[in-house]
Amino acid sequence: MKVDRSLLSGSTTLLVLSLLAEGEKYGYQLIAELAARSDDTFCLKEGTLYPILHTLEQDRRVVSYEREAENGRMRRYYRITPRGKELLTEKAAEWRFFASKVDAIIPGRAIREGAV
Amino acid sequence: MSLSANLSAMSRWCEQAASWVRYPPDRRRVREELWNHMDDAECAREASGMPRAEAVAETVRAMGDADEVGRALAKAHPAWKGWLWEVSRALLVCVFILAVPLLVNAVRDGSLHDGFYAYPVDARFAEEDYGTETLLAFWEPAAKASSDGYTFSVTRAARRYDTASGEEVLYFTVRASHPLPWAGEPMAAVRAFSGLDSAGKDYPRLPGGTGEPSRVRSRVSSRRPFSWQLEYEVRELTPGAEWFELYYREDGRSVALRFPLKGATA
Repeated sequence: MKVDRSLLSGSTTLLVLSLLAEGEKYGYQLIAELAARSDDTFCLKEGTLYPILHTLEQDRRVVSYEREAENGRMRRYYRITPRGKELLTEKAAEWRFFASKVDAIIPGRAIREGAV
Repeated sequence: MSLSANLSAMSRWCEQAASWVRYPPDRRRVREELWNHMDDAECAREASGMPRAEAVAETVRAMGDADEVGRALAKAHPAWKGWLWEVSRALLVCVFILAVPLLVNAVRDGSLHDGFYAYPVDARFAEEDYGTETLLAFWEPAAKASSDGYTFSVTRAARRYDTASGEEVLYFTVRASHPLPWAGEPMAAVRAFSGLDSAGKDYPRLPGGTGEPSRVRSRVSSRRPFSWQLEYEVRELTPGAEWFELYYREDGRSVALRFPLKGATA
């Protein structure tokens, strides 16, 4: 199902932190997992991932380090910090709250509950 | 589009996005990371069966608008932060280059301690009358000598006349300092220095126990980090002597600490 991009733009930080909470990852790996686990619903412009990661790093929500990849090139990995986990918890709670309120209003739910 | 043109397109995309980052080290990091990402993405597309030229073109398209990404990266990497770090680092290096020699010198000559750890001034230097002794002169010779990493300096001297014995007595303080905290007290300076005055008279060193009247007495009066204060007493000083020298010549080492004498004979 095609989804309006504006729905994704506010949630990208939440999605990136959620993936990093599972373990260290590098940029392309994050993009690939995001697409694979959402059945290609979340396909953001790949370049836009890096401003998000670098901003999170400046805020000490993630840290990065370089490690040699299989092709011999140095690859930058990102790891979530305790501060990042705090932000993830906040963002996840925000999302759940938001989703529950949207859910309470949208017609499908409202029809099921007899409001419309 | 040819393969080489597409590869150039990947490189151009990276350069265009990274060019928005003004601080050069950040720009280099961003450019490298974007290129590595595009390389991974292109390889993955090829591995899935996509022809190379198409994989490269699709990789460039999937990255998005280079200027839009670049503007967002510039916000994450403000140039002023990078330059502030450079200036701070340069200042720190300058301070280190200037401060270390000053600190080493201050430790060596003990002047650091005058500010932080003032040594007590004995009454023999400060009082006009000290027991049966009358003060003839007080001065600060500032004579220096070095040996075995120690720096010895005569910081103050006083010439007194003992009315009971009718002899002149010389008191002086030697500051010994060493830049290494584990150097230990300069025991040779305390035990082994002998004296000589301008009239050629020799003042043998301590210890006694030989029946010989000792003429140079010394003791460590104070200790501070990196330095020691030693007090010397020389009895039967030659009247009219113009200088006095502490010396040590043994075991292949020698040091001589000479300073002028002041004050008239009583």
